[in-house]
Amino acid sequence: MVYSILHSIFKIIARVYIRLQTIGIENIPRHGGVILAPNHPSDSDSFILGIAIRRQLHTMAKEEIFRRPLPAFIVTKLNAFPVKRGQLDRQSIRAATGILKNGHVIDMYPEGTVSKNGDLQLPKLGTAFIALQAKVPVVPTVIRGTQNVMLKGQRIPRPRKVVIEFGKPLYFDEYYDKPYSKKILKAVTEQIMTEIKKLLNSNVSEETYHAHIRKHEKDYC
Amino acid sequence: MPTFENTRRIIVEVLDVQEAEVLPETSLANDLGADSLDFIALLQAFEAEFNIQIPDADVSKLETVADVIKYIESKI
Repeated sequence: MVYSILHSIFKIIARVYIRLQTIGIENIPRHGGVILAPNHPSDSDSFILGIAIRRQLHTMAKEEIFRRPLPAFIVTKLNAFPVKRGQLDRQSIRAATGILKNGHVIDMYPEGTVSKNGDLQLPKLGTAFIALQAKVPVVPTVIRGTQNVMLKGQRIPRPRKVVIEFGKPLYFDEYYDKPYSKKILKAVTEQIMTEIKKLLNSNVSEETYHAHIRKHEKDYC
Repeated sequence: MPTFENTRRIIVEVLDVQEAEVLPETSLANDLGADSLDFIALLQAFEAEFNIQIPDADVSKLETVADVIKYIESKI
């Protein structure tokens, strides 16, 4: 309820203020668990990604945020759940897997951290690990422009255009029944990163974008 | 029962390393480069193979391959 209200409000603000545009949103399955795997240009990516899609987005957030009552209350209402970064934290893995198995959407950043220069960084294997654990598809995603909205140390977002593009979902059924192996995780991660790179290198013109919107208006989820 | 062979098989498979790299004194983190995600996967694999439960906190007891075998023996 709180999520839906906030989502509607922020969506209107985002459309006007940062001219938030989405491409390929019909590639997000309408039902069932799915991971959105974007590049990571800014700390605000999860927030803006959550506004951009119609399905509710669940997201991992630093455990520290949950230590203070007010921020904890707010981020919990925004479907965030805690993760201990860089530590052995099976609880957050179980939480993510459970959320996905219950048919929800999670964003996971293969790069792990925000890119300082906008370039793709070497990926970590966590996204692939959780995708295989939960047996869900991964939608490669590219976020453009969020790095210009919130500069480091800035408190008020700047009115800069943001475009989010979703690729075709990737299915990894062939690996589901195989025993865990780093080799498999690397193969899955490679596939995700290749698709993110392809999207990053694609150059969608405004005209193509609007034609796309008209064609897929009904599919927006 | 955990043997060196079946413990090594799991480590080789999970970490994608060569058999020759895995000796009793081999350190999972320092010699084989296992990170936190690898340890999560290893714990899961050991739990499934030997039908045991390993609390996260016990990971500090699993420094070397020999430690792993000793630990699993104590849990069975």
